[in-house]
Amino acid sequence: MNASGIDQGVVTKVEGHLAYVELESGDACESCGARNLCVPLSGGTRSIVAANPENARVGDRVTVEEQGQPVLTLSALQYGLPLLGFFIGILFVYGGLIRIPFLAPELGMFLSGLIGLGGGGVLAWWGIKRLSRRPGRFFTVRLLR
Amino acid sequence: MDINALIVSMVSMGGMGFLFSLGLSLAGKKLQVEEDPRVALIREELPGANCGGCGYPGCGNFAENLTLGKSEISGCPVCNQEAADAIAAILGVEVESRERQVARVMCQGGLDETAKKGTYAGIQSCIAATLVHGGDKLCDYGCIGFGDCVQACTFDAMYMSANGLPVVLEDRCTGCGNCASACPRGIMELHPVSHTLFVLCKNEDGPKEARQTCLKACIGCGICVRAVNEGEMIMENNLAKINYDVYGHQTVLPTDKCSTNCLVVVPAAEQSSEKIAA
Amino acid sequence: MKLMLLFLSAAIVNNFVLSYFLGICPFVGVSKRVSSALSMGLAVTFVMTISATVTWLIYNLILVPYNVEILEYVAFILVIASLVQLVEMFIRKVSKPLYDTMGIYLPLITTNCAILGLALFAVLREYSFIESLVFGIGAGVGFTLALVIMAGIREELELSPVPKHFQGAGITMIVAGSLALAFMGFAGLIAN
Repeated sequence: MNASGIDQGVVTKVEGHLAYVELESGDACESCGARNLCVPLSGGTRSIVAANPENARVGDRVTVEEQGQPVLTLSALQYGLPLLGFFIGILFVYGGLIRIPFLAPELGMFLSGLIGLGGGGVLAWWGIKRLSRRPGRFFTVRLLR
Repeated sequence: MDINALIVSMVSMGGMGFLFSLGLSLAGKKLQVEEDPRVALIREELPGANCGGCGYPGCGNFAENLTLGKSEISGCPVCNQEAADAIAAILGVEVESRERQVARVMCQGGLDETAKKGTYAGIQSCIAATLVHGGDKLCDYGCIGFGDCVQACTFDAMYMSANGLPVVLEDRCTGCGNCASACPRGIMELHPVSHTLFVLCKNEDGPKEARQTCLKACIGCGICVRAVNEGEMIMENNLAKINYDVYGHQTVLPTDKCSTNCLVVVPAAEQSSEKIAA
Repeated sequence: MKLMLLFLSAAIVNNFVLSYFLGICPFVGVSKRVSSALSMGLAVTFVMTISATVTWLIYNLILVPYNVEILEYVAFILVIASLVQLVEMFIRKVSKPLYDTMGIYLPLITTNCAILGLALFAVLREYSFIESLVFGIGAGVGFTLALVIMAGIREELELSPVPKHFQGAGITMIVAGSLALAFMGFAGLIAN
């Protein structure tokens, strides 16, 4: 566990005011025996694009700070919207607004929930596309001293 | 036992498993993150040993980062000039030729040279041994001798000598650096193959202590530093260091001045695979 | 009213982390910053809600009619693992930054006992479909609550002079214990 509780990494590329950072494995994995099994599964190393106010150069070791607000917005979009859709879909059937014939009532609720989930997912997708247009707003690098 | 239950459970589990895997594989196709076609080509050229010398978990990840321009071809310490050229052709960049790196054992304190301060009976690995009072050797800086480096070598280029020191087979060593990261003492170092002069000691103790610990310890007398031109060698923490940037590889050697024989020229022949037969 | 009580019960009184001690791994691993704790909580809530409903369907529409309830563990694990895989793929495709911060924790959710526990509790207590759904959301919210409280305390702790020997894991355990004690105060307010 590093003292500051923030991920560390090495800058691999600098482009304008953006820095590409290769993250070292996060603290959750640090002591996990199955790390080697699951790192390839999740796409190998994690690299991120981050804002670079301190002009870190290639090869510098930096800490990466999460910009809490945008990341939260992102996860709220990513998980919250589909979940809300799912919930609303189920409520529609549960409240008797829609009747689905030939199915067990629970299955009907679930299917309608799935449709809501899909709708929420599409909305989230669209929202995230818009949010992600400006790279570097989610993370900031700070030089490690 | 009811055979029916068996069939029902097999069918229901099998069916569910099949449905889920179908869904997952469809989703996998649909949601696949596009891969650069060059990645597959480059992966063909890479050694495929997944040694991790580049700092990525495997050759695949390295290939991916090459195409993204996040790493250099020279990041792979293993692949030879031929492969590097092929990759450069795929990427459409020039590759500068670089010198081959090999691992060197920076300690001569085997069983004959240094004594043991006790008997260690724990897990037979250097990392475990360092946790218990810094290993069983008298020297707190030198090789511990359980062969973590040999274990780490994915190219069969190392073995433990009878004297309890690791030996690198230079012609098999690819310079991936796995042994260097496995060693808890930093005894294994990567050097360009043209470097032949080494201070084969890491002991930072004062002269008296160092001499008592190991027959081939650098005692920090500094005679080598005075024998060479200014700046070619320096003393740091009672330990002589060679400044390879300044030091011409073929200049006059101060090795005969060294009273403990820790400043040595490592001849290439000594570390060849012939020795494994002997 | 019953559903409301069920929600409160799952979220606070019988909090999964602090009274059942399920899902301790992310509770300690992802509670360093409030923002990532919230994201993780959202992810777990999502997976919990969906898996609560899916496992209900599988249990009541497949396992019960064919008398193979013994397979519930296998079936639930299958569902949860596939679900998390699916979510992971989706996130990887849709939002790279979120995947980079959270991606590493997603496999952790698969093996999270809180999610399997949720499915098994729902079966044990014979919840209806809607009850399972509310139970799932409640448990997720409770998990998020515990994570965020913990993260808030730990953020403060970073700046506090913790005695040397308690630093890191030690003080985290002490804080977790005190939090659990505090939540014990709710015990018995709502049965189950």
